[in-house]
Amino acid sequence: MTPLAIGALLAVAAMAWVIAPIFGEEMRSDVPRGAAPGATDDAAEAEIRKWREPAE
Amino acid sequence: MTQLAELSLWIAVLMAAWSATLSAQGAVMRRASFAESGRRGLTVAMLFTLIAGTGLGAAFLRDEYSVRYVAMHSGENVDLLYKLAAAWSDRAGELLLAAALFAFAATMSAKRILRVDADRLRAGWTVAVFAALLGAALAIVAFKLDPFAPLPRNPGDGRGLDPVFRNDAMIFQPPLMLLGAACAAVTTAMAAVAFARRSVDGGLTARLRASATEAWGLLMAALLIGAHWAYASPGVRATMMKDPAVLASAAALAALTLYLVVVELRASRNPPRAGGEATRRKSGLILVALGAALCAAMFAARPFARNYDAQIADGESYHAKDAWGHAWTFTSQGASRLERPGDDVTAVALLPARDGARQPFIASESRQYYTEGGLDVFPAQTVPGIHSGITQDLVVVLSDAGEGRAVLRISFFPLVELAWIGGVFFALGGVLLFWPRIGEGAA
Repeated sequence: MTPLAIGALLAVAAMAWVIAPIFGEEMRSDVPRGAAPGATDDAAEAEIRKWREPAE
Repeated sequence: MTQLAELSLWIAVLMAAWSATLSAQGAVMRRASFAESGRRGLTVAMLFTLIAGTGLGAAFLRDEYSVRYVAMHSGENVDLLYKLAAAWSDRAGELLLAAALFAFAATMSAKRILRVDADRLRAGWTVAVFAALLGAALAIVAFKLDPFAPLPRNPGDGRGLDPVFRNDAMIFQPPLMLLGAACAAVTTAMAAVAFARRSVDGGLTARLRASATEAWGLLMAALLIGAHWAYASPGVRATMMKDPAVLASAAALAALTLYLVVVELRASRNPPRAGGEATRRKSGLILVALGAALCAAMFAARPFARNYDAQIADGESYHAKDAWGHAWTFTSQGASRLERPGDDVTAVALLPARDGARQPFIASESRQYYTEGGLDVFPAQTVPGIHSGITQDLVVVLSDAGEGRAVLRISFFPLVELAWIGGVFFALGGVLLFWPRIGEGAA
């Protein structure tokens, strides 16, 4: 494997890790209404609320 | 490896840009996922910057003279450890090392800020500024300085490392100074965002103070080592006075000192409650005062320094007097010449006697550097002979030698050693004094 191929592979893996939180959030927002929210969703909601209502 | 390092540099630039954009976007749109993606981008930018830096270091260690930067600053006659140090002997490598150290400091700081800062928007903007600064530094390295640029053909050997940098201090002083400057940049970015958003609280003040004290301690240590190195080497002194990294570090140290003194004066209105805390501050204050007094003593004694321009024939003696009234006699042992691979050395040794008592030999050298073709590749350097003592330093500098005589400058500098000890006391005391109190900012 050439150094450039190793670099490209590393870059792809890193990019996937970097954009994962954005897709993770979108997937959570795709949950149908009425579905029982899990503990993970609650934590995510709390986190988003904390951002939308920042401490002044 | 060089190809991987160059690619990594470009990926690091792109990742820093991604991190700056997503962190800023996360703060504007108040999206936690964007901020987290921005933080991860900064971490990845750091990792790829480290790969780029490691690749440049490996190119030096493996003598890859097909890389222009390596060919210009290394060569077969350079020792292995100096080959690594040669990587940061010029702007491109120095800025790449600074970027790697800043990326490391910023990533650690970003992780902590996003976890503990109550003001999430301030935290998001701070990470954006970290990434923007890193991106700007990396872009200059990649677009303008390009340390991986190849030569049309492999020259087989390099020009060699500038002799002024062939010193053990070159291995650790620049990295230490750049780490201090990186920590100072992290502190400045945190403070700038907080003041721009008019969002300053106790927690931030304590974090700023801790971060500023770390940077101050590192910069003090690095600049003390650098000053000691420059004192013994006139060539380094001239190079340092022109180096933007040294000038920026000195300016950062001055600004941090001012900031920490003001913060300490404000904090001293509320005496510490804990006994250990009071002892730490008191010890720090005593060390700072002692260090400042020792340095002041050296400056006060400067007018009493004595300089003699002596022309001494082989075997003859020269008489001088130091600031303390002692009579010195210097007997020339003659000049000796030595041809080494890469340089010619002319050395003159003197046998000093103080008030009739014999002292150890002192010698000064003049070195001329050449390549295989006989060309002078670097300016000639003079290496002074220095005998250090608590009361004074005796310095001998060779100006010229030939035809059975030598021209030398003999100097007596009183209390110089005390200033170095004072500098160490000042640095240790400052860290003890400036470090935030336990529980500071908890309110």
